[in-house]
Amino acid sequence: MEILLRNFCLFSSASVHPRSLRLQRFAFSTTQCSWLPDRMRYDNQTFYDNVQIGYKRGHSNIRNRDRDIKKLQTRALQKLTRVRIVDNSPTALQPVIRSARIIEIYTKTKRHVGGVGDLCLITKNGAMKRAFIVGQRQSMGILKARMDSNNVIILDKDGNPEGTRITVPIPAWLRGYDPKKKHPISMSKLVAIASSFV
Amino acid sequence: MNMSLLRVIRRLQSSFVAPQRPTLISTDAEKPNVEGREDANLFSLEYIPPQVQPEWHRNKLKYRLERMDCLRRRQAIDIPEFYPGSILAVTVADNYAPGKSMRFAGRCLYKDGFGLGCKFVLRNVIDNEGVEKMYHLFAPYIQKVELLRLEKWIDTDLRFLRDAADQSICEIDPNMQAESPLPKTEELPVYKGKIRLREIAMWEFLYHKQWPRPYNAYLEEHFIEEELIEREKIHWQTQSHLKYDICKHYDVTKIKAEIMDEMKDNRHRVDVADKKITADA
Repeated sequence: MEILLRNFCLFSSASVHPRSLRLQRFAFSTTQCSWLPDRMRYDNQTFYDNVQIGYKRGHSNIRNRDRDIKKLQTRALQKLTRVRIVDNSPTALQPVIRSARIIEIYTKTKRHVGGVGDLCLITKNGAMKRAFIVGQRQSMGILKARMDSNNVIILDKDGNPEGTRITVPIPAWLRGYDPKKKHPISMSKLVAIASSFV
Repeated sequence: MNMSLLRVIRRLQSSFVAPQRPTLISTDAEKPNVEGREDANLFSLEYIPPQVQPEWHRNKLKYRLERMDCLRRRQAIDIPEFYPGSILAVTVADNYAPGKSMRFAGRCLYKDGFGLGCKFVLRNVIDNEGVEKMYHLFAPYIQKVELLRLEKWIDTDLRFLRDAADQSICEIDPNMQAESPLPKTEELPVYKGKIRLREIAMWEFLYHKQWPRPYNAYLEEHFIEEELIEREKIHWQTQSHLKYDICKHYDVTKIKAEIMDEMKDNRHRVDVADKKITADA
C-alpha cells in the first residue's frame, strides 16, 4: 500500500517526469546498444499482478523484442547501397555513367534500412527514380529466397512498374504481400509482369 | 492297341526330367546397410543432439521427444537420404501459387540443426541469378522431397559455390529426370573434384585464409611460397589450437549407438501413442 501511494505521488507530481524515474525501470539482460529499441518499462503488458492490459504491438513492448531484432537482421539495404535494376525500363537500358544507388528508403520508422518489399528512391546517371526492392543478398530466414544481388524495379509516380518485363525471378511471397505504404504501389501489375517466381 | 495305353508307355520311355524351380532369393536383402548410410528411421545426422555446455543444461527428454516427432514425420512423407552436394526438388504448399504448391529444385549447400529444427539450403541459378532457399526438413508445409541426384562431397558446407567462376554447377533444370541413387548396401563415392572460384576482392570473405579450408574449392593459386611460409607461422601462432579443439571433433560413435537402440523402440512407442490419441478423440 505504501509503495502504491508513493508511486501515485511520484507520478502525479508535475515536476518529476516519469521518464526520469530510473527506479521504476527494471530489466533482465537489457543491452546498452543504441540500435536496440529502448523499452521504457520492461514489460508494459503487466500492470499489477493479475491485471492484464491488452496485447500491444510496437517497439515499446518487450515481448516483441525478438521480432524486432529479426526485422533488423533481415533488412540490409540502406542509403548508397548499389542495386541492380532488373526490368526493361528506359532507366535500366541506358548506359551506365553513374551506377544505380539507393538514396532514400521509405520506411514507417526513422530507421532507414530496407529489405524486400520496401519502396526506395534510387539514382542512376544523376536521375532520381522511385523503385521497389524485389530481391536482396541478405538471408531472410526460411522459405524466402536469397538472391545473389540486390534487385530493384523502377516505378513511376502512380506506383506502376515502368518496364514491361522483369528479367529475374522474384520472391513468391510478394504475391500475397500487401505493402501498406504512404506512396501507392500496384502489386498486381508488378506480379503480372514477372517472368518467374521462386 | 489302345491309344491311351500307348501314351502311357511313351511317357514312361522318355528320359525327360522336369527341371527344378530356380530359387529367386536375392542376397541384397540380407546385406546390411553400409556404415554411414543407415536407415533414416534408425539413424540420421539430425538426431545427434547439440553439444550444450554445461552438460546438466541438456534436456535429454526434449531430445528424445523430438526424435520421436522426426520419426512421425518420416512416416507421413518420404524424406530421402541426401548430403550437401546432392540435387533435390522440394514441393511446398503456397496459397498464392496457381496449383497451391510451389516446386523448387536446387543443389543442397548445407544442412544443419537438430531434430525438428533441421534446416537445409537449396541453390539454383535461374535467369543468370543465383537463388537460395532455406527449408525446415520436417516442416508440415513440405509436401514432397524428391531426390534428383545423390552426391556426396568432401565438404559439408558448400557455400563457396556462390563464388564459383562457372555458375553452371548450380544451374539445375527444374524438369530434370531423377536418377536412381545407389542402393544403401553400396558405399557412396565421395566427390573430390576442385571448383575454381572467381577473383575475390581483399575485403570479401577469403576462403584461403579461413579454417577449416574448403577442400572442393580450388585455392592453390592463392598460395605463393613466401606467403605460405608466413601464413603457416601466423597460423601456428593464432589458429593452431583449433584442430585440437575437442568440441569441433565431436565424437558421435557412442551417441550413435545409443540413438539407434532408442530409435528401434521408438517406432513402437509412436504407434502406441498415436493409437491412444485416436482412441481419446
